[in-house]
Amino acid sequence: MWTEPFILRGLIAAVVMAMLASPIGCLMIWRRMAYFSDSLSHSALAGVLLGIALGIGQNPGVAIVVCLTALLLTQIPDRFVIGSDLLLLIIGQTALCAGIIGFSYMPGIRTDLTAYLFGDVLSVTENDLIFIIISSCFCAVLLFLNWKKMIFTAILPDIAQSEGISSKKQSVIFMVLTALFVALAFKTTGILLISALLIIPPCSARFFAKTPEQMAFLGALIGIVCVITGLACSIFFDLPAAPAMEIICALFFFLFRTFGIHK
Amino acid sequence: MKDNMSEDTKTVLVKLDGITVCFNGKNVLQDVSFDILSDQIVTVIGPNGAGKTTLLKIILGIIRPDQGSVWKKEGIKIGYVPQKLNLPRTVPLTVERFLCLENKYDRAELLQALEETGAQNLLSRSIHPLSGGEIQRVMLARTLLKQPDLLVLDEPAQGLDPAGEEQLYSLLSELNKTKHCAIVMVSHDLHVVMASTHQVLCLNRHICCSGTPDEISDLPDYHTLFGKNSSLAFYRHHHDHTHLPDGSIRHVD
Repeated sequence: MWTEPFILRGLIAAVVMAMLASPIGCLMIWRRMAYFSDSLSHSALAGVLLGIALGIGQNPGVAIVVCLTALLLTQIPDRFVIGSDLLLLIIGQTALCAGIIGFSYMPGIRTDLTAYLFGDVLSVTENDLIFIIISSCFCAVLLFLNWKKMIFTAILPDIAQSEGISSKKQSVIFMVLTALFVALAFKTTGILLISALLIIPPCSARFFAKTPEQMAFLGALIGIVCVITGLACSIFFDLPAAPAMEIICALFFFLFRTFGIHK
Repeated sequence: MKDNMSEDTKTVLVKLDGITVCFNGKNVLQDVSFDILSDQIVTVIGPNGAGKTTLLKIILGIIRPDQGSVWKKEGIKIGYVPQKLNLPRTVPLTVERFLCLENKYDRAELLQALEETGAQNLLSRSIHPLSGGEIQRVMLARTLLKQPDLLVLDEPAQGLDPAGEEQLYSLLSELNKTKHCAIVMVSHDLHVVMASTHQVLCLNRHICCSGTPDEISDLPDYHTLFGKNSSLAFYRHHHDHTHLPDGSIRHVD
């Protein structure tokens, strides 16, 4: 059963995504920007529409729209009257609704919204897989080259800036990373559940980690176990895959919370 | 003119010229000019909202002035100890890792830096449960690893008890003497500054007055309060103007 091509493709997509999700999720948590991925992923639906409208395919469409939204979000001034968490929520919900309304106007397209909102990991095609692998390699290189600087900027922005690390540049890199991640993950987890995979495994790992690297590494391990188990639940018990992955992540969180060393 | 003799051997580290900063159309700093010389200790004092932290951030290059220029000596290394370390608790961080956020240092170097600030027993501890004074020492050790030419401290004595404040100040003046590191700091107290301060800047959006605290260290009040060898000194203000409620300035003729 596991060797069926469509299951294998789903499995590879989910595992690659889980590995990448942890370091990006860690940075997001440390930057106190957990809402950020939510807003971005909500704009992915509009990206699907754009991709179809321009005939360039869904994945590039999503990548373009999400990257543009991300760069737009970097322009929010620091001292805006409405806090950036609120602004992110407003933008995210608006983007989602615009996407849904846009979909209702698209004739002749299979508008299976559930697949977009909650993911359909077993429908990952060969082209999707190539896109996922290429963009995750790109993300991994970005992460590897900037990891130390990104941690520094995330936790001590002023000091990092005073020591010559441009916080503007680091934020742009972070936004691009998140945007690419959303683009490669939306098919597997669905638009609404991307944040869960980004945030919950690193949070569980926090209870055992002594260094930032341990947190990212352990988070990735937890993520991999969760997606494989979730996929198995989907195959053997006919559960929806992405929600099953989320529930298992949450179980890990409560388990680690109970037995963790650092609380 | 003994002072002029020693001035000659000092070089300018940072030169601020006509710095003006606006936030939301309001001037936070107006036409501030001064030089930081090597080996010098400068204490900046002033009421809340006087722009003290903004001035430090200008020196550090964290914010850019709307008008005026900041010149820094080429290759200058500046260490910054902020007012408060607002570390997110979600980051698992030991003191050791905290000290290596930017560069890798070996254990001996780390221990030596921590020893200089009296925090050598903290190396493998998690940074989150540390007290304010301990974090202060760790932050100072972090800047020492970089061997800075200039140390910038924002209200370093805040949250320390008088004994801790005294300890911190003697540590700073020792660093100043042995490592020839210039120091710029903001003090939370308008009247008490570090005794080895060479120059006091009184800031209220512009520089109200400046001078040395030396002349007042002979005051009898000072001795009764702090004893002869205290690291604290009084600073007496000599303002030639008053601030009116509408923000304008009236000069005393």
